[in-house]
Amino acid sequence: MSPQDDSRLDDPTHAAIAADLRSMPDVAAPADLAPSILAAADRASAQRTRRLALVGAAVAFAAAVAIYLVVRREESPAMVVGMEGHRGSGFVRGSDGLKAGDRLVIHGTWRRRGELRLYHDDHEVVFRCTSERDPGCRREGDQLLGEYVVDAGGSYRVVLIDGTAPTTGNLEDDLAAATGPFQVSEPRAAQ
Amino acid sequence: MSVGDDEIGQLITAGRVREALEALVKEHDAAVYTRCLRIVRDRDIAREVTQQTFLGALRDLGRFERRSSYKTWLLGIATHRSIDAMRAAQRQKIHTADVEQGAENEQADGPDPHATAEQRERWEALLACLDGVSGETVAALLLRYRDELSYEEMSIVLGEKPGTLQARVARAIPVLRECMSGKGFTS
Repeated sequence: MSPQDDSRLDDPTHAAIAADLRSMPDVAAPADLAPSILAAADRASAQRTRRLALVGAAVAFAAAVAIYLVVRREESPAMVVGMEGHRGSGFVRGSDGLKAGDRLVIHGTWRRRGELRLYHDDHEVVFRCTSERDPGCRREGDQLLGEYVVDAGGSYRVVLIDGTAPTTGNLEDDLAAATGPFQVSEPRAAQ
Repeated sequence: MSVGDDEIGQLITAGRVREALEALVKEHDAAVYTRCLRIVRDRDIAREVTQQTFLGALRDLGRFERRSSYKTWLLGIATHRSIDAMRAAQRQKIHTADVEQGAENEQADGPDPHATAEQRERWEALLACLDGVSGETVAALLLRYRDELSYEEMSIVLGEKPGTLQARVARAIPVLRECMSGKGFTS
């Protein structure tokens, strides 16, 4: 539809009004209007640049934190515990029961400071390593190892616990009192 | 589309947006300011809305698809923003006093040195008559007869139905006709 489609433009007064509206000259804009528009645009652009810089800095910070956390995670492998039975110069398979006189080599991997404990029947700590300086303990890289000679029947379980909290001897109580992460092995039976 | 539009388009394509804005302002500031002044009838508000129009256009320059000229696009933005500003001013109840002030200023600005004395008198009479209708009606009349938009195109600019706008224009013409007759202009 164009203005010429308006039926009332047949009316000369209507047509004259339309023509006057079309031909009416523009008002001169104030002389300082254009410079003020451009100055406002420059201010808006500068604000946008500052906002982008702030957003960029925030993104960079978040990325740095994320990278740090990933690196930390890679540098700090999960806690791993285990034990192996030795009889003479050979291994005792997990399905075979241990006997008095067999040696249990317990080990735990944890980059941070932690304590390796061997519980007997979950009610008594019969061996512990806080560092390689403890009797029967040694370190191989991130791994702390200890060797214990089985002297009683029952079940043995290895625990690697963050920190060096005092032990009550009772596994359940000790884990309940733990303030940091810990890892518990499957029990190993001895006859 | 004018040569100016092509040059502005090339500046935008080249990423020289600041220069494009400068060209748009230089080319169309008077038309945009006039459109704002006709609707809001207050110099300070018209000035503010003109600035908002160009800053808004600057944000949207990259998205403008050039289905119309830059001038038509800018006048559409100016019209829409002027109506918003006028309504805001009315809400603040400061409009009535400014209308009288604005109307006087408009007429003082009107003369075109190349126009005949009779034509200038007709324009001044028409401007005075436009003060008797609402800003929304002035906006519709200008979009229709000055920018030569269809009612469908006007509905996009103003966010109203084409039939509503057509009725608004139709109702305004007899009012203006009577006003012009009262001032001695019959056709």
